[in-house]
Amino acid sequence: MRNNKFLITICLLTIVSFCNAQPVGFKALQNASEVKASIEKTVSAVSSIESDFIQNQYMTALAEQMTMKGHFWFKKENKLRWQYTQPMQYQIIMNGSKMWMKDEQRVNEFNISSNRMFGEINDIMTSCLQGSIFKKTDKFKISFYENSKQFMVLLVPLKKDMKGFLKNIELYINKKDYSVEKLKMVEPSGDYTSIAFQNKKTNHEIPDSRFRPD
Amino acid sequence: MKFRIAGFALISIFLITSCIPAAYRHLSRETIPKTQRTEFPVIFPDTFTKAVYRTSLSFFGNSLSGISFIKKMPDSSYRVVFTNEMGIKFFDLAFCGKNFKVMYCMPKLNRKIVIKLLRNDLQMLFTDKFEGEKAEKYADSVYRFRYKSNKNYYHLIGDEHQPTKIIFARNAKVKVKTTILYHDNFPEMFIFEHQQMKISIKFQKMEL
Repeated sequence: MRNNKFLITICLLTIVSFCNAQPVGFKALQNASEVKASIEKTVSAVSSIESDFIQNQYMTALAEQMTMKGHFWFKKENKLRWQYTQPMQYQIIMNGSKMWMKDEQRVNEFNISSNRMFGEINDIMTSCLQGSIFKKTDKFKISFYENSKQFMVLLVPLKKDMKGFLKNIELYINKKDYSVEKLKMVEPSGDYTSIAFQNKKTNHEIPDSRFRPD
Repeated sequence: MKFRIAGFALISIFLITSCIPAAYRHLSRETIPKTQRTEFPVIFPDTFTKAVYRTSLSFFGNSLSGISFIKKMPDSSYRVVFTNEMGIKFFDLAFCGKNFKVMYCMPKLNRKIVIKLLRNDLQMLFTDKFEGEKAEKYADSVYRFRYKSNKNYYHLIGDEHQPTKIIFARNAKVKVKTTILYHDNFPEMFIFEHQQMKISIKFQKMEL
């Protein structure tokens, strides 16, 4: 009798953990390695991206949401520019090992290695955009899901440092052109920030000067 | 005997005046009677519900910048959530009267000195009563609040209800200068400048 109860508990826990692992509205991808290869091939042919973005930050404890908007540029290799335009003017620029943050009053310059958190985020972003994220199996447990319109790549940090501030990252990829449509960073508390990319243009000329502060 | 009395008086005067930062020693002083006791002012008005501030923290040459959400919760406590621009949270702090709780702190920043500093600086914005306080009026625009012991003082400049400068002194040494700018009676900007450490924290209200 005691054994039966133990088995039922184990079964229930397995079902519950399986349900938790499956993102709502998505199912596990059967042909993950095939899709992964297609995404890597397509994304590796992208040399530059320019798009608008909408960032939504949700804080569960405060029941508050904040929306920010801006423009985004990416250029191979390792060049990123986030230009926030609403509700504030702010630039985050990453270019190789250098990083600048500029507000209305001043520009701060850092080495990315000295700002590890932004360094990690930069690394994740560029890896997603350059198609090398799937190789980061030392940093993330990677699982693939799909619905009718999107693939969803779930990245769960393995390293203690990152686990302290990040529960997981969800990458939403368009099934037609394999481009990243949305990125969601979920914190251990359940608070999250999602960044949706709109009006994308790929492989057009972006001057290197764009990746330095104005 | 006379020398002893004179010596005692001199030492007493020295001890009393040494507790007062030099800038206020020349001012005449009047203790506010208990019946007219001025309470330590709450910087945020009663009508306050929430606000968002651009925030920068400079700490011994390191800097953090981001956005702070300050919200008055249904139980009248205040929550301060400080995140970077991309939404990753640095701190989530709760203030309720003189009580304080760290709801979250990014592990890399979770140091006693950092938490103590944030608690002491921010608590003066949200606390209306300090234990063992004694109010004294120096001049029309300078109020002094004794806090905890004779060694800790808050000097308020401006108005006892809406100070524009708060100077925190311990053992007659100025520790923190806080400057507050208001717009329509609402705190638009506040800056904490630590005088004996290279630390400053700035909050600038954002219009959403």
